[in-house]
Amino acid sequence: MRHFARFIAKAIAFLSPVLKQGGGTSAPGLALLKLDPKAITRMANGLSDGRIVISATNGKTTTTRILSKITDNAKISSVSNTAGANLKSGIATTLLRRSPSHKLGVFEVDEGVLPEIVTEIKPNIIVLMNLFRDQLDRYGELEKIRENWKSMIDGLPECTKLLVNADDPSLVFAALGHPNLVFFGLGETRYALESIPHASDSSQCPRCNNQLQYSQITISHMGDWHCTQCGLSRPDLDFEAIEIQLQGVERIKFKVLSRTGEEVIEAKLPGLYNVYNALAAFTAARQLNIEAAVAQTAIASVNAAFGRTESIQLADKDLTLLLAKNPAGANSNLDTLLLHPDKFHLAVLLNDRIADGRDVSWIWDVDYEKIFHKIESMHVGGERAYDLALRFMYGGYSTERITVNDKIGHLIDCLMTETPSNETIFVLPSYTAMLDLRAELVNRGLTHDFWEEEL
Amino acid sequence: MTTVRICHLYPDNMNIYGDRGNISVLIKRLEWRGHSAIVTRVGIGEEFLPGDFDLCYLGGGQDRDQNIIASDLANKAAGIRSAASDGVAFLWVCGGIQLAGHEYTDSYGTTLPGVGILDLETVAGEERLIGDVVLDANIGDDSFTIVGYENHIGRTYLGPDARPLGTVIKGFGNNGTSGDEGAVQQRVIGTYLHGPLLPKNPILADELLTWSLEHRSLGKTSLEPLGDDFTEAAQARAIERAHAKR
Ligand SMILES: [Zn+2]
Repeated sequence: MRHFARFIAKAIAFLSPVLKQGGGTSAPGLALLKLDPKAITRMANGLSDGRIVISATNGKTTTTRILSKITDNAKISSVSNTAGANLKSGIATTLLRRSPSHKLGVFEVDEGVLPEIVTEIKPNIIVLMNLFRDQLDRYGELEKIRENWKSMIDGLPECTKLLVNADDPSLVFAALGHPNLVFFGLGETRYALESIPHASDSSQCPRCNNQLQYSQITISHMGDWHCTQCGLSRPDLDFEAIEIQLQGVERIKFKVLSRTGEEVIEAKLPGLYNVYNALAAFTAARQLNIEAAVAQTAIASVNAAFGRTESIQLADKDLTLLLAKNPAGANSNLDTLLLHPDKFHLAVLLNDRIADGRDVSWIWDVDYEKIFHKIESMHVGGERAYDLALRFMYGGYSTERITVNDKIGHLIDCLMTETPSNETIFVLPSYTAMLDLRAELVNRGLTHDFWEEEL
Repeated sequence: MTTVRICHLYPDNMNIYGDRGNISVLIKRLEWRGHSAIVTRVGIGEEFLPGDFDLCYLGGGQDRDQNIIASDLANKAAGIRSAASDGVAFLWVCGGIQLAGHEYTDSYGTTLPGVGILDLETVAGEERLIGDVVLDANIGDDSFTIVGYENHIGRTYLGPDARPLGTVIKGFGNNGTSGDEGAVQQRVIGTYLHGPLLPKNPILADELLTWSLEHRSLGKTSLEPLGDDFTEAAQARAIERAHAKR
């Protein structure tokens, strides 16, 4: 029966790219789990060099890609769900595709199913990066995920190594008490924010509910924090990003300070959020005893995952996609756009399908106003285009300068004909809006399917 | 020109569903008519002075935040009740409608007292009620459509002194069974609808602004209508999509 289940699932895995079912990243695993619910545990057992899981609201796909690239360069034969299918079905599909030579697993896991996956996959390394508000309709309350993560950590075997972003207070609170902790975070940087953004949550002490004090705020509620009431504070960093340089919308450069010295990291990825991603991947690589030099080279060569700062040539215009699926992510993207030296053409796209979150009220928590002065032309699109139009209208953006294009084909036509040659278009899409836009660009032969991309 | 004094209660704790958008709409719709607004943020430990405001807004928060503010709200309850009976306009959304009632009993069986400006009680149910909502709303002599989004575990039951804000055409409403959504009593409006509520429901926004202008200037006020294509299209699209099978 087991073999039959795997056979059926593998047949689906073979067929689904042909059938264009999202590259077959989830369907085979879904079929397998129906026939054999314990399949993940059984298949993961074979990964004798270890199993790493990476979870976060934002950045888990990119971090998984970077770490995967590092293990490839280190000649460690590993399997990874790098196309972003991060629910049980996606992980089962990844494990199905594993060849017997794969000894290490690197998995990005959705924050909602993390405790369940951890029970099944028994990872020896867990990387926890951040928790932000996301898809309010789906989980009801962010607090619930935090509680679930804390109970998960309380039940971990001592030998499980926990890599935690020390800049996120709620993660530190959840992790404290676990004997096997590695903390990473950002040292002093000139790119810090002046105040806590409106969209942030949990700037209260996770232990005593007192308002936290910050000597540095990086993204949302993250930074160098402490509580004046109970004394909880950001722990000492084992891996600290210092001398951070954000080089436009293209690159970052920083040093990682650790017990073993200082290593320069460069990446073709923009923004402070990618400093966190690269730092997390580097920290994980060092736990696997991969040489720093190997990790550095790999990080320098990695390309952003599809839709996350992906550049696509639109005739003689440059279009860059920056996935923006929740307030923290969208605000980070806006900060990155501010690094662009010139004015630009902007398209913001919003859908409200299950994968986006049905509740779109979060767009009112994004500080779009801070880029108004950089916008040369403004398009809104997706199924909830008019909600975006109202968001910009009440933000004070001139309604005459907003073009609504709720059909993706029209939007692309419009951007192609109206944007002057050699100018830059930035697109901030929600998740399925990004997939729709890419699909249309693929149809027009302007880019490739996401499952064909190189790491 | 009149300056409306808006109190935004617990903006740091109760702000989860884009509540800032409701405040923006109130400010902008005043400014577009030559009026203005002063928004005062009143948080934990800060005093609520009933004579200082014409309109009071409270938004939604997570359970944890709602618990944090509940005890502080008890200190402000007398002032809030006095403002409500003095004709100050109120819009209390999501967690707000629960706290505007007499009491709220959460999923753990803990009862939080409300301020009692709406005659209603709320008890946590089993499943969250989530999704798009369309209402036939009635305020005074005005009938109009309201669109929004709901996501609540609370089941709210109205007493005799509160009228529903509207009849549910699509969605769950106060408790999933009564067919009612929200509550109105004097100039206090409570509702579960966010999205946020006011951008796509300008008639409701203007109703609240009319009340607050009247409170400020002690005279009958009427606001000139403002039309814009985006609002109309957004509302039409929301109604269409709520009715479409998804
Ligand atoms: Zn504390």
